[in-house]
Amino acid sequence: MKQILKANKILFFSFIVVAFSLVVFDLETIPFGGLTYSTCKWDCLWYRDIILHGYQPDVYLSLRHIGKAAWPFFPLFPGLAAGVKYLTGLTAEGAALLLNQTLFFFMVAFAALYYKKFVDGQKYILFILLLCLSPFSLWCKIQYTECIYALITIAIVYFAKEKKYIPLFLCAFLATLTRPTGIMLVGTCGAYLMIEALRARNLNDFLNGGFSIMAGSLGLSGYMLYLYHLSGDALAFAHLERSWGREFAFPGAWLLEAIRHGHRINGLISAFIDMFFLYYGFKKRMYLETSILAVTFLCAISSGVDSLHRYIMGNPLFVMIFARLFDYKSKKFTNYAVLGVFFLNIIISAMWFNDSHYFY
Amino acid sequence: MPKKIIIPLSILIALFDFFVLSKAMHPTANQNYIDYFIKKNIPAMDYYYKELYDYYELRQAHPNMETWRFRPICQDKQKECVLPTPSRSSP
Repeated sequence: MKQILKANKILFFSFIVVAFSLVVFDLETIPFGGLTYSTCKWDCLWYRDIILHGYQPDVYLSLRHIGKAAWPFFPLFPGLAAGVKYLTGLTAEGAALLLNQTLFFFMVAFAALYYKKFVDGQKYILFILLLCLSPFSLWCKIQYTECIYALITIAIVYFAKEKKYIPLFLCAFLATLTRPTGIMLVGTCGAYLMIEALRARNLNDFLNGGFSIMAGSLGLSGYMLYLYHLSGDALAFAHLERSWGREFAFPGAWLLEAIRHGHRINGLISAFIDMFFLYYGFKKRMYLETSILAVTFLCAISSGVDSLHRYIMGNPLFVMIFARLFDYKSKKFTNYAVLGVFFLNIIISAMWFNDSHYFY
Repeated sequence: MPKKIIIPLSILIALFDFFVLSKAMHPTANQNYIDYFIKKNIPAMDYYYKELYDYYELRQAHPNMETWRFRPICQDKQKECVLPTPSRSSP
């Protein structure tokens, strides 16, 4: 037993830290009205709508949701949550929460394995602590797509670097069924593989890299075809974003708009923090990880600064770059920093449970 | 995966993607949300708040809106017309 634990130290440790972080998170919801009530905010209500009623062909005409429908919310997460609901008999939001918090164990373990193998073989314990205990994990513990998308992201970069193509194609297909930005993730990874293959003059690797993009496009096209039959518009998921105030513009335009009007300050601050970490990631030669984040950043900021913090900071690749900040820091400083982000996590979680507008 | 499989599969997927994109270029004409909110470049909420304010005015301004494809409105309390919120309870 001792030998098994020693061999699987990284898995064992990540499971312990995830369990601790989830216990703290779930207990913290008690004063705010209970676990599922206090975690289910904003987009969770749309996922709940999909889990309970599926995608509807019409848009809402109620005061709060006029002109909106659930089409921008991609089907993999609510589909799996509906399956969990069917199997367990839980409520829709309870099933979605159970799914996410279960996947969180696997996401952290997989991310830690990746970090140890490809980023830093020494400080992977620090990475696990930061991933689980920092505020960046907030969206992975609630009924959002962050957790499943993070798991798929890690799987894609892992299989891309290992050149394991069949699981890579499957993950690429699932990524585009999870989020609109999935195709950006898959495209970046595919381009990375193709460039590597060109350098090595390997035609087969080049074709496999290209095919990962094709596999991703299949998921997106499948959902678009479904939307066409449902609503008459294959791009309804993108068109409906306008009802949330999202429109395409040059990325800098949204930043200038936020500065001029003094609103969405959280998105503005997040944009500058993100840009610093993108620079830092490239500086640390984490090219694939940072390129994925950079493409996601550009895609997200071209339609507004809302939720930008979630798209970037909720990604484990961001936490990998963040963890590299402590490369040359003393152990004492690092310990205090971990303690600091843990307390910050508790505060931000409480703000989320209390309907804060700053972190959705 | 060997290129003997990749190339024909890629062609098939590309044809499927092309078919879907051709559909995307031509959304069907009876989508009123496109006509009123998308093509006119007006976010739905702005349209509602700034120009019409409530459903009755909206209906007066557009007598044919009953033919619009919206989800059930709040007049019928038996039908769900807003996003339901979860109850205050743990699972």
